[in-house]
Amino acid sequence: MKTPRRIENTFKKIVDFFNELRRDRYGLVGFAMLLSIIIIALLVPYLPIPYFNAMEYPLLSPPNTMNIFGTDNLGRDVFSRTLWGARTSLAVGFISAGLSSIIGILLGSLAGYFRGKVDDIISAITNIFLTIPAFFLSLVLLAIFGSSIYLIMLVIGLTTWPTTARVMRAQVLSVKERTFVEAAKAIGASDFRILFTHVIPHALPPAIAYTILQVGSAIMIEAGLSYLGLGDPNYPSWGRMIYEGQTYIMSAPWISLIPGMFLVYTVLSVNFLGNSLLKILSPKLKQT
Amino acid sequence: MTLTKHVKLACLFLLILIFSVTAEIAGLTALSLKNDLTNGSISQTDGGFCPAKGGTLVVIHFGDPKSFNPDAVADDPLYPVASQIFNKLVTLDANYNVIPDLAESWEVSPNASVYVFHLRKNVKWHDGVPLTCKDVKYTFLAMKNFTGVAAGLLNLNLLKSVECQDDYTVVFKFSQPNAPFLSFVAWYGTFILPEHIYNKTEYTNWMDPKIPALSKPVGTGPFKFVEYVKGSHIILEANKDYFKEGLPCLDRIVFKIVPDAVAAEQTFIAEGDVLLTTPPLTDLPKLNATPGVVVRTYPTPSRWFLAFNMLRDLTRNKDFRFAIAYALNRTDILYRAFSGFGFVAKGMYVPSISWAYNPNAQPPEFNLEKANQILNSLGFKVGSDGFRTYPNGTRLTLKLVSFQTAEINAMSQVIKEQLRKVGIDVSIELLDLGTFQQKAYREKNFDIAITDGFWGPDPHNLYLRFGGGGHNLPGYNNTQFNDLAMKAATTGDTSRRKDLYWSLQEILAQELPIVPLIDVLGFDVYKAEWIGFDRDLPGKVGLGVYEAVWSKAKLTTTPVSITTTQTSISPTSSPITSTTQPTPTEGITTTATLAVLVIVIVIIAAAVFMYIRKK
Amino acid sequence: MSLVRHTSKKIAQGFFVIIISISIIFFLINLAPGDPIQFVAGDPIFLSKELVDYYRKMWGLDKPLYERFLIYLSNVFLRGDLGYSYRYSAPVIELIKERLPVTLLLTVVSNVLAFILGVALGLYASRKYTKLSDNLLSLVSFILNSTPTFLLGIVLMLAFSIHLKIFPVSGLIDVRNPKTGFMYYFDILYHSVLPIATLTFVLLPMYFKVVRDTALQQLGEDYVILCRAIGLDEGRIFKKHIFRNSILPPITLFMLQLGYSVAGAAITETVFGWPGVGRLLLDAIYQRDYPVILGVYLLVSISIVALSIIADLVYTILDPRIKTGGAS
Repeated sequence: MKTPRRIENTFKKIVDFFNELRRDRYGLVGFAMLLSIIIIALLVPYLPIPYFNAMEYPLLSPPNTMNIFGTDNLGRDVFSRTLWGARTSLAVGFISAGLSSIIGILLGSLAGYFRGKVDDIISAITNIFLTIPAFFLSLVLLAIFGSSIYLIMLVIGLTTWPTTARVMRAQVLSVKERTFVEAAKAIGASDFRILFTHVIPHALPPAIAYTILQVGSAIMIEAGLSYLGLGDPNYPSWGRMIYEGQTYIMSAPWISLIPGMFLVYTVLSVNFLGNSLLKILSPKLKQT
Repeated sequence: MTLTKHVKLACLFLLILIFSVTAEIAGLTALSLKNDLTNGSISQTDGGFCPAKGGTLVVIHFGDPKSFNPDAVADDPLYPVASQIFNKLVTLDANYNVIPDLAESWEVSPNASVYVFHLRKNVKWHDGVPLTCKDVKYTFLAMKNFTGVAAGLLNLNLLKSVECQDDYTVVFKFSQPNAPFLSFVAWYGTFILPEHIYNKTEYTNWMDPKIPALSKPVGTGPFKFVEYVKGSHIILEANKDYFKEGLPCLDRIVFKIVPDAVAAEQTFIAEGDVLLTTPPLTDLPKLNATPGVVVRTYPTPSRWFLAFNMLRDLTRNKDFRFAIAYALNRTDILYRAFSGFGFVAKGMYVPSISWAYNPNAQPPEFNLEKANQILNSLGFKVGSDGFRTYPNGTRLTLKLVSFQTAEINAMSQVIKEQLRKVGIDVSIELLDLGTFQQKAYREKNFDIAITDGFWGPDPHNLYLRFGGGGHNLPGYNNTQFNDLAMKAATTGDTSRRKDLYWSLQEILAQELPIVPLIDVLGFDVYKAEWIGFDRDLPGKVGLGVYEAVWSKAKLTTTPVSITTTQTSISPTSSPITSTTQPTPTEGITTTATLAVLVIVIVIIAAAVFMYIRKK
Repeated sequence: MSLVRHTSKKIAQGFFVIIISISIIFFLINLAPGDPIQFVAGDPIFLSKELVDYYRKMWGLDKPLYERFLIYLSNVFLRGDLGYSYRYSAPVIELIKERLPVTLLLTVVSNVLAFILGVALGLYASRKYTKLSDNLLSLVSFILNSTPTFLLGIVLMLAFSIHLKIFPVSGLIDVRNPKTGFMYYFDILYHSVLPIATLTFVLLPMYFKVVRDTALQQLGEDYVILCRAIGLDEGRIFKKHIFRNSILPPITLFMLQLGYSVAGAAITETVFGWPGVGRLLLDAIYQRDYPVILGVYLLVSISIVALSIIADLVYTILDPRIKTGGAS
């Protein structure tokens, strides 16, 4: 009997959330933009467009009726590659942001809940990761171990979690003082049970907003790494397309500018959405 | 508006006409000029090479040198600079023939184990000290003791002695015959260094930071070092006491360091005279069409090749290697990855070292049917996704390993696509150079690998790349090949060496441990104002030396006969028509797809808009 | 007294962080496959066993890893010696010294510009809250915030250097016609317009957002409502109160950003071909120049830690509400 009510509750929450999102036009627009790019990414394999690596066209032809976004230096259709690139870039964005959030949420809530020694150690680690020039660390790792898309995701995930951890820690600190946590303690529930069933779910909302923002920055980091030649050559990503097209920037600017526009569009959508989520979900800002 | 457009067009047409006419005339004059020079005695350099003196040559350069010791480590950014400051015993001309430099003449013993060089007598270091045999002796011993970059190629571990018979005669004695020695002395990392500056007891080695010449090099060459600002520029000025009388023609050379290809091209057009940073290949025609810019192209002994891992079961199978070779359309690789700028590699050795090249030993030509036939007969069946599988069902995937450059990136993409056509999946792994060499050369952790290399100046290079030592990328091991190669390296008789190298190439063509892909196109990009580069004076001026370069703009009276060859630039191969004619339906579907996507986006946007409005 | 204690504790922590940071990089690059000797040899046909042995010994790579690490640490912290670059065969410290001014010119100037512009625009936007100009500024800030540095640089270069031909494409000075005296500095300034503009636009949204958010928060505070109720002039409220209270977060941000400025412009430097520290590090990474990688890393870590301590200090001194030692 408990489950249907839970589902109903969740559903109600989602409706509430959208009602709130509606008030913030940026958030809604961002959501729509992101949705459109996600739909494109999901549809790509079923669209009647050439394979992303098919080399069947003249080299460097400007946009025309056959290749609406033109072709690149190897005679590949930029349109097809850009759409396929959405898959790679979104995958990198969501997976590495997810990874980074999981690490951040776990470490942050552990630190906030247990305080004391655990907090000291985790805070020290967070501090170190905030201080290390993360971008260069990723560069070194990829340059040395060869750039594969999985390593890129892993590296971005491993270097971007400290912000989430900090937010989560502060959240857990405040949630911990609430009465229901005290009540659960009084009943004699174990620490981990309290942490995972009571504290984290209540402390989570702002972390979700940060995760969404993280998606945008992960896409940007991947593009930056690709621009320096460290993207995965087996998959088309927007950053990699810009990198490959930059040599032809004067004679064939469409090769890099079109994926560049898609990149800005996607990151912008994520930033719109993330920012208004932050406003809705974080209690501190909500008051003002 | 339209009028000016017409005028512009007319001007362009006229310009092209003038160019083609001058090209005709220039072709003839250049030919006669060349004959003139090759007939003349080589040690003679009269003022005739410098019809005009003075001027500054601004060279757009691709990188910072590592140091100013040109023999210690491989230092490509230093080489064009060092060529102006230093001299070698002998050097290579633009056709890769050995020509005299500091040595006027030389003798080689019949079994190629004793070499005698006779030095010029009028050579002075930039600080005024005369050059003698002592300097040569020091340089070669230092190369041996401090493991100079050329030490391995010169086989200095076989060097028994370097003796000075007198101040101007050097004798090298080797414990075994060493036939490639002369060519390698003429090539890389063999510039003669000043013994009186380097050889002091307080220095631990020739890279000791206390040595002043490491930051302010002193050489014997046509230009003296003036200034170096890291990341910015290197300035050289004319050496008034240069041993070739009347040379150099220029007053100064400025190397402006611009590593970025696009920026370098722009800088060259705006303020440069010579472009050394490789521009995007597709920009070559545009550069050539730029008024006042000359682009001259020629084949080089540098070659891109695909190596099979001879230690893995799959690629050790000769039939499989041939299947891959049949599947590779090298003309298409040239067209797409190099925009046609280069040459489809012919034979198993480079044609530009013409005396050793065997035209009968050729790799297989592109033939999809044969490739599929072989792969079918090997039991690799095509699955529903278009990729072949092993009999046990796993997908046939080849790991392609290489390092990170624009050409390799493009080439590996094209090869991946071509092998997809025969159902082979390729997973590309591009590493940095250090990791690549570790993984490919030492660990042999690849199925196929792409790399490039200089295959000259001596065919002994074949032994280095396919025989003993750590340079054998495919891990090829054939005793017959090794025996023949060693025989060729130990005889001084050129015609006998030629026969041996011919049979080596035949072995390689039968066994195919590598597929030769593309021979690198060499090109000089410079302003039409300048003349007297290495390729204007073959047999006379060393590769990349600017000693005889002079400016036509400095001439008071316009000469009639002196013009450079103005070859027009076009890709050496024409695009393959079958692949460039896509079926029209695809175009329609692409547009339709875009329309669908636009509709999807519009619907979403409309929904959002209505949602906002509802409030 | 407690301020001193607080600061010295921070410094001790910072030192610890630096040590950890440098060890991570040290072990990472030394455990990686491949070795830097490849770059000495260039084409593998030069690579003889003698050559490898010679350079391993010369660079101390033949010693065990922990010994190399201890030697490195003692060299750095006891003697201030960052070692020799494999690639340039010059002291690392010299290489950094040569390039530091170029980078600092770029990063410090654009940080200052972004700070001034960000504060001004942020305050302006908060004053025009929900009006057209605020919406427009916020939108532009969002777009700039979503554009990768290199894309912005490429677009600016395409527009101003290649199409309009107003500014030079790349480089630091015009080598063809070297200028002297005043014109030399003018030339550098001229070449630095586009890189500085790029970096300023990249940093701007951060300052803008912080200032606007803080100012908006201040507008909701009781004292502002009180001021308004008294009938104080709106301009006066902004000048006297809002500005004073919203300047603190961007100052802290400015300090933190300065800490990153030593190598934070690597991508801008790459786009515009500037010989700065960022490019030195990138080249060193591609070329396996261990001492340079470590040296630049150390410098960056130190500057980040140092400026975060300074930012903390400034914050504590300027903001009377924060008591040292106590939790906020």
